[in-house]
Amino acid sequence: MDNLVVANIKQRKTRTAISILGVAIGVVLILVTVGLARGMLKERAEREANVGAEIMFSRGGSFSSLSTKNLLTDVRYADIIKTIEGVEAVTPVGQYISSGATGIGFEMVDGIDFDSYSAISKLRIVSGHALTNDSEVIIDAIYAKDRNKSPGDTVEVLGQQFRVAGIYAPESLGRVKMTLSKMQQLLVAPNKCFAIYVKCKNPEEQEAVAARIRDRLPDNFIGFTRDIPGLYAEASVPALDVFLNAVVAVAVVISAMVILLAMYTTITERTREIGILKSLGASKGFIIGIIEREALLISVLGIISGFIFSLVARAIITRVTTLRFIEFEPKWILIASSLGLLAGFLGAFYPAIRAANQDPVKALSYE
Amino acid sequence: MSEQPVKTVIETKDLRMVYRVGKVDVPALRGVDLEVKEGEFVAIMGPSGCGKSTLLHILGGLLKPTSGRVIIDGEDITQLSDAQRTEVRRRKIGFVFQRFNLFPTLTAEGNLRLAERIHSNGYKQSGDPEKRKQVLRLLRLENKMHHKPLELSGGEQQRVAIARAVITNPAIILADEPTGNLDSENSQIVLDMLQELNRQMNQTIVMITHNPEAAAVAQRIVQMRDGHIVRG
Repeated sequence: MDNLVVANIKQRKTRTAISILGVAIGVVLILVTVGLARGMLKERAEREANVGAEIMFSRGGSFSSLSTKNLLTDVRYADIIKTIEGVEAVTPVGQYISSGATGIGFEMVDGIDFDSYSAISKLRIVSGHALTNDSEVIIDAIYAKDRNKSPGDTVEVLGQQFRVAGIYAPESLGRVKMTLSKMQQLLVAPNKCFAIYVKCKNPEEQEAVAARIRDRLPDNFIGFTRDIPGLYAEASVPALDVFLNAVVAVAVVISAMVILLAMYTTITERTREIGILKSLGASKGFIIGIIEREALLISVLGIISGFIFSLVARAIITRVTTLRFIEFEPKWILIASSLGLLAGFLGAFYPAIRAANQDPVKALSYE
Repeated sequence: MSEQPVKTVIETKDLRMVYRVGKVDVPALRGVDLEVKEGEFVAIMGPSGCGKSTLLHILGGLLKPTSGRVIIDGEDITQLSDAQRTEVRRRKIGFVFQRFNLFPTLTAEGNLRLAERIHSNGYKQSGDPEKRKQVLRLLRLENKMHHKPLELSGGEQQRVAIARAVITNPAIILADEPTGNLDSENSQIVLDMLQELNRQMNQTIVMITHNPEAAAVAQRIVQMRDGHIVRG
């Protein structure tokens, strides 16, 4: 243990542990928050793409399923769209987003017309039976496993008790589906839906079919399900970018402050040692180098701990909440690591400069 | 064949140092002229507050005098910046302190390696293992290489501090009361070591001491009083 940097880190265990924790918290904050945001978007995009339709139609000028606003599109548009050339089938879908049962994450509930929806999405019942009346819901396998529910059990949705009719697959849109008529009744929106999904006879002609729908029903949103991943990309959610940037900034500040306080305390405690270094002829650069290397080594340990804590956090979150996807993308791992090192460097810089500028005679007589 | 004149490694000219304490000027050195030749072992004695430590700190470049000149191995360090004085200290000076001033987290060998690293300005990470062994053997510390300071006696710690001071072959060793924290037995061992270094390696040593017995091992004793050299 002849290396001064390693020796100091080992010697001051509590300070080292707290500093590592400070950097780790910053890394966890970045990875888990970004992972949650990106994961939720990706999960939703995948489940929306599973509906099996090529075109989405909704009232108004843009696609916005990230809100909890009420059903706005008249279901009677479905009858008109059905008559347009190239359209094979249509299904109106209602959607309502409420907060998750644990208070973390959110839960999406669909209102569907079972026959038309299952025809388009290839939805099949793997256990129990199909939706037959307004007092029933169908759920997917993950919801069933999370809540330990089986066909015949009751679940609370939108403040009401429903009987689980069956478990469906594959996953698409929300994990719980009720009849559209029941959702309309609960949301006091008769004859309304969130969007109408359109399946084309020939998927390759979806642009032409969309153009025909636009001609017939102008001033509405008409989008393609193939574009959904892009619609959910970060760039299409500007507020999310701002939020993530704020989280990153807070993480860097927390980590840098912890390192600053730890290193500041350390150099005060080690004033005499700094005097000894000076008496041995250590330059200011050498002293700054020692303190910065110590901070960077702590940062590296903090980053590694942060990764481990993030994996643990992901395991816990996916276990106790409805959130399924927390993605740790390589890009964000790199960003979190770089910011952890930057925080260590910046946090130690002032204490290092202060140490390097100490009066050697005063430092040597420090008690 | 005539003998080569002995080089002067330390020279001070009209060296003055005034400390400002609040609004009062306190003179510590009032015009010190001192010459130390290469290979000389000089003891500086005097009562507390006579300016011995201030003189030693100025000779080591840790303090800048108020006026006067200090020439260390041919370089006038009073004309140098703080960084340049540090450079001179790194290349030419080895300090030994009363309180040993070893790094408690490092072993004896680790303390020596750190001094070597600083001497190479951080470029040589591992230093010269052979030289370390040689110096530790000379100071009879070869069995204590892997001990930390708290595992060593006071005498052993001071010998490690001396080893650290000489490991980089400095032109001058400045020792500030090296026996001040030691019992008489360990004091004698440390003084013997310093004398051995002086004789065997022709090491120039300037030692501050209160102890006349310690001063007696030096070749010359300089007496100070009230910021002046009064004898020697």
